[in-house]
Amino acid sequence: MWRRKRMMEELDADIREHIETETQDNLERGMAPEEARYAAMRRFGNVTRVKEDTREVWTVVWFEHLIEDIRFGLRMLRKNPGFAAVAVLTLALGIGANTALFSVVNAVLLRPLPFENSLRLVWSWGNCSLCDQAAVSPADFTDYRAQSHSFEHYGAMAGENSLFNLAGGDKPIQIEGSMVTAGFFDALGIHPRYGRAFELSDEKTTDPQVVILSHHLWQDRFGSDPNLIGKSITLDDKTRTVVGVLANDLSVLSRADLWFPAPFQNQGMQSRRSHFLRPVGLLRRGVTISQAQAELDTIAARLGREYPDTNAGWSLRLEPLQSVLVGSVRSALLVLLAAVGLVLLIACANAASLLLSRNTARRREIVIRTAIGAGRSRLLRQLLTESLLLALAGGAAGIFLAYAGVEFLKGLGPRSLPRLDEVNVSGAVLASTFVTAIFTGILFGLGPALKASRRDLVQGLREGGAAGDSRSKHRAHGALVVAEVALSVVVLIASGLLLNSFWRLMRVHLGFDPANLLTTEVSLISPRYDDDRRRESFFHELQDRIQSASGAGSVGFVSELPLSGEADDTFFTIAEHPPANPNDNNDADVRIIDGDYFGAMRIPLSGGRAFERQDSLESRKVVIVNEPFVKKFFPNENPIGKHLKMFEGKPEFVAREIVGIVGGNKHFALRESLRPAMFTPGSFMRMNVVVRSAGDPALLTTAVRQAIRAIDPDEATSAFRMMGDVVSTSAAGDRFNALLLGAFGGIALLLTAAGIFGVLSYLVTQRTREIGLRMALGAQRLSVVRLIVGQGVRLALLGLCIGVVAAVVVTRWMSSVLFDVKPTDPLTFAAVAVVLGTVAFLASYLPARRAMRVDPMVALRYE
Amino acid sequence: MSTKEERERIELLQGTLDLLILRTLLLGPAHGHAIAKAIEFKSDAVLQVEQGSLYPALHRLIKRAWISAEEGTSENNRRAKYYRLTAKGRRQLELETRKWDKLAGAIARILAPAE
Repeated sequence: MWRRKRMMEELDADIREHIETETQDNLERGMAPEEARYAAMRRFGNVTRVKEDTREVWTVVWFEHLIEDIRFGLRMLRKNPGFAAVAVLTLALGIGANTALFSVVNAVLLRPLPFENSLRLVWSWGNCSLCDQAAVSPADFTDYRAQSHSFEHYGAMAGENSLFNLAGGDKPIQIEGSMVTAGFFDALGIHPRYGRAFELSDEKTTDPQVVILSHHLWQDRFGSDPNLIGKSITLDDKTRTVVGVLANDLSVLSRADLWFPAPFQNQGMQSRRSHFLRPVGLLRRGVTISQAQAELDTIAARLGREYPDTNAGWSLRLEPLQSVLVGSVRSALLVLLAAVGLVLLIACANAASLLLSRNTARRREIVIRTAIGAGRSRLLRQLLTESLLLALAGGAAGIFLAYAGVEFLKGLGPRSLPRLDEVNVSGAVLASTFVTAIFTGILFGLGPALKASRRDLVQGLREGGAAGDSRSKHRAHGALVVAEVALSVVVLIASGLLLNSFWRLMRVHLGFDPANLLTTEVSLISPRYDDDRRRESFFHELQDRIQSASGAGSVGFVSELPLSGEADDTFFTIAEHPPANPNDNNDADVRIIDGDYFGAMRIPLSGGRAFERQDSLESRKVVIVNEPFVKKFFPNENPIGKHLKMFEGKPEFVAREIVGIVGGNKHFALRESLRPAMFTPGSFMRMNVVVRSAGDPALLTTAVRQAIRAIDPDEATSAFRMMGDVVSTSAAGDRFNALLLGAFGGIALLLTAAGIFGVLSYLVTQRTREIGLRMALGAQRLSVVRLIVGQGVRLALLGLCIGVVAAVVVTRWMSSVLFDVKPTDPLTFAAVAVVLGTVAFLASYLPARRAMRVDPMVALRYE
Repeated sequence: MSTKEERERIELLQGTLDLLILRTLLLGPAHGHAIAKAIEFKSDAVLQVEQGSLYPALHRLIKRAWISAEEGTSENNRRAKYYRLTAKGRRQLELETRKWDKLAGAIARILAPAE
């Protein structure tokens, strides 16, 4: 730009001088001074237009040169289709992988959440001495909502959805409903497509009367009826009025099919002890998150004084919604992004070494162009244009790869990756690809172009384009091989660590046997099952009927299936060890089980007895605990016969006798350690059925469905799943990372092998004369092979050493995504070294074999 | 506005000015005003270039490396640019002149009264 400015100033001076001279001439011709000046101006013409035209000339000529360069570049590439194809393919792999992954990063991490004012949305976690991500009790929530002033809207949704039977059509369907409070949709800025959001008046009831439908339920079940507002639907035999239909699905936050307002006048909604609401707030404009936090702290302290039994030590912790939703995957995605960036660097190194070789072959042309007056900058521009053309072609091909890659990534579809459905190759992604391609073109093109254009004219002409042998010329090639190997060592070690970690995760001791285990859900929603005995007899009959089917083994029921994301926990004290302060409750997972749950899951009984039918039928006050529970709460003591006083929804804690001990099992995630858990006998309205099968569990689905229908034809069952699938779904995030980084490692290895092969082939061609000479002087073929392979392996070893050191530094950042593997795992490092060493050897051996076949007579005549 | 005299002057064909500038500079380096004067003088004032239009043309020739510009002092003893023909420009002039001769010859033959 400054150059243009200077040229403009010079033009100004020129024009001034011109008019001045003309005026002088006119004066000499005898004109009056005024007239002389006026005539000169008229003679010159419109000064502004002249300046504009001149400026236009600069632009036009610049474009002419550009087009010339591009035409020439295209011609050069067409003349060497092999070189062009290899370079474009290399770059397409690097750029394509980057584009695909960036699509994911853009959708998940960078793009704002699909809510209005998403930057002002904050999430509230319940905070206590033992917890920092708890839910909030309904009574606390209403107090916070009423007393805080930091929020434009403050609402909440229940942490877990409830299941309903929706009547209509030929068969009732089971749907998920989510309890939300007034202010929830307003905070998120969600305006219903039809009707209205919930209002405070909707909450003043013991039983919710109105519902809002999700977009997909409205479409699928109600045929997108625009006149649905005000009409009634039947949920679990009760009539509800539709007051709203949402315009879009809220898949980021909830997969509910419909929403109902929190019935705050219901007895269960008065509690400060049961925490199940998840509040979300829209900060007022100008209020910072720390100001809001300070206000909530004040309210929490006040509540703690007012209700010391339930609220002492409890508070709320605010966190931006975006970080709540995507924070957990941030580190994994950043690791992947770093790895794919390294892959692009490897691709650049490859392209650069290809260009170096090409520019050497073109030396004669370059020398001639210099000799006839092409300046260095003009030459640089020409060479850079060519590399940019290659990069842009690579980018265009990479976009095709990225489209395929994105579909593949979405197909992997890990549940743990939020916003996956939003992932696409968007305009922002394409723009970033374009920038990446330009950057890439300069990165790999500049070095070789500088080197080629620096060539000394005289020396160049003297060499006359013959292949030179000087060692310094090959140093650039060597450096590129070393860099490439070093980069790919880092990528390979990272992917090796992740694969190793995934392998261990897949073999981790679950505490139960998922093979040949079928599972489904049964919900007894009709009011006749409000009766405990009726419920028990349903499940016991179901157990008997399924067990009598051929191929079925043990059958059991559990309220929360392991690794399915379901969870429940409760407070308890140990009767034999009462706490000093009556409010010092312990907390542990609790599950309700029935039938032969432990038998079906193959969870071993290590002490005492399992439950029998009478335990649930007579609602006996017994409990079974697992080994982690014993280790934590009964160290050095036999817990059998001791008593737990458990909170079961009523103010009075229920005392239960410990009758058995079972092994621990993974419940939330494969990564976590085994958690203390308590099991009580009985059945909920909704239970997971687990069926152990002798053979293929899929064969039992009909038997299970028939058994349910035989007992009660009205009950809907949800889909069947294999327990093995449940386990692998829970590891989908890890599989995603491992597969992706594995793929990047593969690409890195491929590119590096191609790079070493390319450079050594080139060097063999360059050294043909020397090799021929050596052989003519009596060198053995083997020593020639050793010469070439030795050169390749030496470079690879140097790269390997640098790469290993870099990896030790870099892989520390991976510790959060690794499981049971140290970032410096020696086995992984050794394996990568062996693999790369082998690949480097093979990639050097093939060119060496060609060198071995060099005919000394031909070689010496060469050129 | 335009006088009778001006209407009889010939508008220059596109690109012709470039050729005239190159031809003028064949005699030696000159600055802008001198080039304009030389073209006017040699064509007996038939080709009266609007002097300003010289400058875009000069810059086009510089960009194409057919002429080069260097600093110098004008007759008025002030800083002014001198323009000089380059080797590339000299070749271009030969080429353009041949092209022009061919064109002029062809047109003359077409316009000549039948013999």
